[in-house]
Amino acid sequence: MKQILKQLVILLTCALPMALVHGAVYQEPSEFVNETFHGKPPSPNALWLTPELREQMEHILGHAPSGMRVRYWQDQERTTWILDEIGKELPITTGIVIDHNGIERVRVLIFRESRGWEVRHDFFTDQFRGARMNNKGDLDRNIDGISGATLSVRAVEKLARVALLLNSKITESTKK
Amino acid sequence: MHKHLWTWHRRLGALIAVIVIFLCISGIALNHTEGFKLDQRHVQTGWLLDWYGIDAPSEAWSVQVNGTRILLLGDHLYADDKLIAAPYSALHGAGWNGQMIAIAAGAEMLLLTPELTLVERMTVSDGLPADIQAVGSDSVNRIAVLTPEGQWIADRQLLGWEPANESTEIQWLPNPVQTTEQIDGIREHYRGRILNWERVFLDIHSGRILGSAGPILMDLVALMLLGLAASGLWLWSRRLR
Repeated sequence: MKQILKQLVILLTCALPMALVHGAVYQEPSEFVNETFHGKPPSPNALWLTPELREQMEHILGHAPSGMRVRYWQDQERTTWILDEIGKELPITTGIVIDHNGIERVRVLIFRESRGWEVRHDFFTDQFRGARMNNKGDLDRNIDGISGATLSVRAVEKLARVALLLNSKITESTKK
Repeated sequence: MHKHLWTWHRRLGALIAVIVIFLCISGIALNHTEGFKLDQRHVQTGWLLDWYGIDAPSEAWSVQVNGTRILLLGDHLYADDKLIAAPYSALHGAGWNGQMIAIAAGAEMLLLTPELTLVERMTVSDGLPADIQAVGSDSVNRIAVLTPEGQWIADRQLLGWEPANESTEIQWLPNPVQTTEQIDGIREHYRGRILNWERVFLDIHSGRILGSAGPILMDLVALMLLGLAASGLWLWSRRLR
């Protein structure tokens, strides 16, 4: 009986973190925006996706974007994006802050998949800090993957590229 | 004995040949599920869907907005005959602000162009008021929603929400009602999104497509194949002698 109880405790100890990981909200998107702008977020704007921009996004994502506009928050040269991309089966919601065309911060906000949740850790997201888009539309640096989380890593990397692309359109229109 | 076994070996081979062909085809297909995208391709064949007992829900809820019928069948949301998104537990209402159709469904608000192209899916995270009960509009055509916490008005672009003033006159639009229209085309579309080909090939391979007797049949086929292999080896060894 003692042996069974011991095994049950071990099983629950192992299973509980997994249960918590599945469908975890690490930070509400609205809180992320609030935090980024120190409690005084600007009103949201919408970037409408032109056919050309949709094509560029499709090239990065490997599929067409789902909507016709993307919401963002801007304060001078600083923009914040809340974007979704599917890792394996479910969307990963990620917050990305861009300052002067370089990534200031990436944070996984909601992770719904059962595997690959390691992408939420700072050791992974900190790699994006300072990253910019090169002429080919890629990140100007290599992002180290995480074994067992390849699809999630790929999804977050795609979102970082999309955010830089969208930000560049905002910068272009501001300059005009 | 030798002649007798030879006859049975041939009969057994002919008997299970058809099943072996099905097993081979389904096995190859399952080995390449991702390549063939079997998990993403859905069965549209009526008799196969009937065989699985797949039917569309009998109840559907709909509301008219700007000449477009918004309909919730099961958890699928349609605008006219076009599937917009899924899954949604309920349809709360829909409005038109002169530029976009706003549909409150589940915990989201979906924005569509007049051509029924999806513009955005708004959630509580985007500032959408929670627990929407009804959709309406004010005198200048701004979208309004009713929630347990009060009435809210969206800006013209439907990007932000603020509590409605007491003086704001809101005209609440009709709530969705159970539809009595003929929606056979939509029902057929709904049925055609439930069963994927991976499931069918798995069921063919295991025999479950024939119901509870299927796996027993496949067990018998496996035993027959074992018998066939054993008798074949025995006949071959006799021939060598």
